[in-house]
Amino acid sequence: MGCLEDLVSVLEICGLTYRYPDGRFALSGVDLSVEEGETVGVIGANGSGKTTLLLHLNGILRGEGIIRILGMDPGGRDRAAVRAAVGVLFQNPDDQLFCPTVREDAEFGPLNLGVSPAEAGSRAEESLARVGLAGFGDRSPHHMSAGEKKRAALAAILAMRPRIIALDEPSADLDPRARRELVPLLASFGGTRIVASHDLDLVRKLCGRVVLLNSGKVVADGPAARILDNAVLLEANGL
Amino acid sequence: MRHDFVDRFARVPSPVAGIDPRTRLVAALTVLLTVVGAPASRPGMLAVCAGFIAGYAALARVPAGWLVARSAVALPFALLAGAWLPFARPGVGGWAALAVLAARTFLAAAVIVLLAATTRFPHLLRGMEGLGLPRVMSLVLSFTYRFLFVLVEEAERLEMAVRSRAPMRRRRFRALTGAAGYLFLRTYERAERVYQAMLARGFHGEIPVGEIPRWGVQDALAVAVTAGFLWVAWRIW
Repeated sequence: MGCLEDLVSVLEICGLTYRYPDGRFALSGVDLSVEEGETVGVIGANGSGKTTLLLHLNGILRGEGIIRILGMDPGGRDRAAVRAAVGVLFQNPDDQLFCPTVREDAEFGPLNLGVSPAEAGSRAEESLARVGLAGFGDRSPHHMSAGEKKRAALAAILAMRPRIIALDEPSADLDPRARRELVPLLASFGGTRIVASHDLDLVRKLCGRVVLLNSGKVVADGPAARILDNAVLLEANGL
Repeated sequence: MRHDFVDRFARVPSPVAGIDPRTRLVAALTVLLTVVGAPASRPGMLAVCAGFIAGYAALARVPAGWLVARSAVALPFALLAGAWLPFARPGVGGWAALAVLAARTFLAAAVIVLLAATTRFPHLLRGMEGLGLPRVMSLVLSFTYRFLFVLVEEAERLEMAVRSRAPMRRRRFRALTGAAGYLFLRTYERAERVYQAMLARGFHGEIPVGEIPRWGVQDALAVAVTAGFLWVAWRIW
């Protein structure tokens, strides 16, 4: 099915091209369609365009081409609604957790959506409990381990109750135990998930479908097993 | 890196743990003004204030040795500033004035250290806002508190990298100046990423405010006790 013809898709990208200010191409003619409830792994070497692609999903970056999230344009008038629908987990939780306490961070998103302070507080508590951080609300992110910070960042996104979750290198900087704990946690979330990572083992465990990027272009798109078992393909694309 | 006294005893269960940050701020400010404003001829006022500070520290379960050591940090400055007093006023008067100056400095430092150590920093900011501090100022302080240590850790990592590859002191200095520029660049990039993370969660130019705490019985009690001590200090001593 061609670009923008699939009405079932929650996410539709057609010919997305993005250039850095210095003129280099970060994304070059990317086409991608994701259906409701799908978990898609976006893999590729460093600099392949994974993070740039994710930052287009909620209109933080705007390239050339067409993007539709739940039928809305993330770069246009629907930007606020798109940001409420797409939760992006950044690679480094220290970039994402900017409030003095974890609770305030988890409340930040819901309050921006216009919910009442009491409702934002209860959503924050609920999402913290969901990621196993009940009772951590008063903690400062600076005093938490990398795994705890990652889960707190995830809670901050879940408190917004997004329909799509986009995760940028979710297992980066985690020790083996924290990484093991993260996999079932991510697997337990419903909704549509997009996991950008070069942790192929994590992608194999979480994703049914994989998109392989190289130099900003989609090199392969298909069932996870078929792509992840193709050692020659992975090797040729820096993985 | 961890800070040494900010928040240090704020999570210790104690009879003063639940006092509203606004009450703490007002009480600390009034005690501070009493300490600073106590005339040199009435050292008894300082003694009453010292009693109040010691009582609060004991209730908040702050070890006396810890408090004395942190508060004494300010003493060298006071002694330096008042070193001329014994010469300007020969006899006991000059030394007494120097002692009062040192006591004032020590007690004022103790008030600040206690406030910072027993009140959680985010609550302190909330309290300041509640007392009229502009939101933009409290946000600047909040971001500073959140990212100061992240930045210091980044600087420490850069310094370690420079040391490990530049054992000669002269070369190390040159490399460190370059690292300072690099640190600025990293900080700028981090600021960009933090802003992107804020946008991703619906930020549209205004920082929303969560639930504001309310004054309770404990606060009324704290105000009464503080006012009682200050009354004794000003009227009786």
